[in-house]
Amino acid sequence: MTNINCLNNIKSVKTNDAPTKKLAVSMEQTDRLVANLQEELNNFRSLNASQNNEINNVLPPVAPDVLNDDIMPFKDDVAIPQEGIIPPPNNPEIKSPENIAPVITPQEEVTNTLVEPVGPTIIPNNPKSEFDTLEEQINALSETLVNEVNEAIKKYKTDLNNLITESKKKIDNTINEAKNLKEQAMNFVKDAQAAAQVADVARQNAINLQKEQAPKALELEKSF
Amino acid sequence: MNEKISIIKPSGETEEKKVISHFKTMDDDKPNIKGIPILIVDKNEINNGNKVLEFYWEKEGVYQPINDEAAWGEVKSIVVDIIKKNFKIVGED
Repeated sequence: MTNINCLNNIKSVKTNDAPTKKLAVSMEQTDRLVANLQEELNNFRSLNASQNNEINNVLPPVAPDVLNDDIMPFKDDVAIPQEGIIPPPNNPEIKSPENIAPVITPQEEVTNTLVEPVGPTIIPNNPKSEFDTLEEQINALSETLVNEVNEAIKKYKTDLNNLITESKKKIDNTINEAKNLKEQAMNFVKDAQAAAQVADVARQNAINLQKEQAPKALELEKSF
Repeated sequence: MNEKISIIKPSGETEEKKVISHFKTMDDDKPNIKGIPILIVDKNEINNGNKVLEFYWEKEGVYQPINDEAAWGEVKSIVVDIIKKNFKIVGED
């Protein structure tokens, strides 16, 4: 949102002969430019008038001409000489009669500030190249935005692909680790099974040995 | 604004043009034109079906062409804002 201060109407300005900046604006855009400004200015004036009326309800009445000046700082009938330059107010933030009234700069000083004339403005045969059009500006902005969005999408895609690749690698590594662990577990099981078989054989051998040796031991005991 | 204004050149030649707008901005995000009166006038020319507007800024007591590209860019952005109704009048001088 741009904030602007509308300035007093001026009747004439003195300028040098340097080429001016120009903008080629469609008729419809020009109408909107003027209409929007006028509408916002009217809103601003209505708001000011409304606020002043509220103040007038509680303050003692003031002389009508003073009141009008307060409400309508824009006076269309301000007399400004045709010759001369109206410099900006010294302190535009402070509204005072001195600021509202035009200050005329002496002609001699004005002349000194002028740039040496360089001749009349020459419009080339193909004037389009000399103009900035709003359409071109908006198109350039749009193009910039599209480029920025495309760059962002491209970067996002690259980052996403990198993330996917990295995640895939991590998943593969995890699967491989799981496979290794499974193989190690299976080896442990096999070892345990082999040990159990050896234990069974030893146990059976012990039983057989006991069966075989028990009668002999009994006979040996009796012989004593 | 539909006031007429007389543009007086150093040669003494006078040209009457319609004022489109006369404003200034105090926004800090427009450092190159902050507090400087900007005058937009109708050049009374048509270019490729478009109306040609002329821009001046007040420098050293004289309204003169905006010879600063950064300032010119800020002025154009304000014009775009006004056309898009993305602006507010905050005070009058």
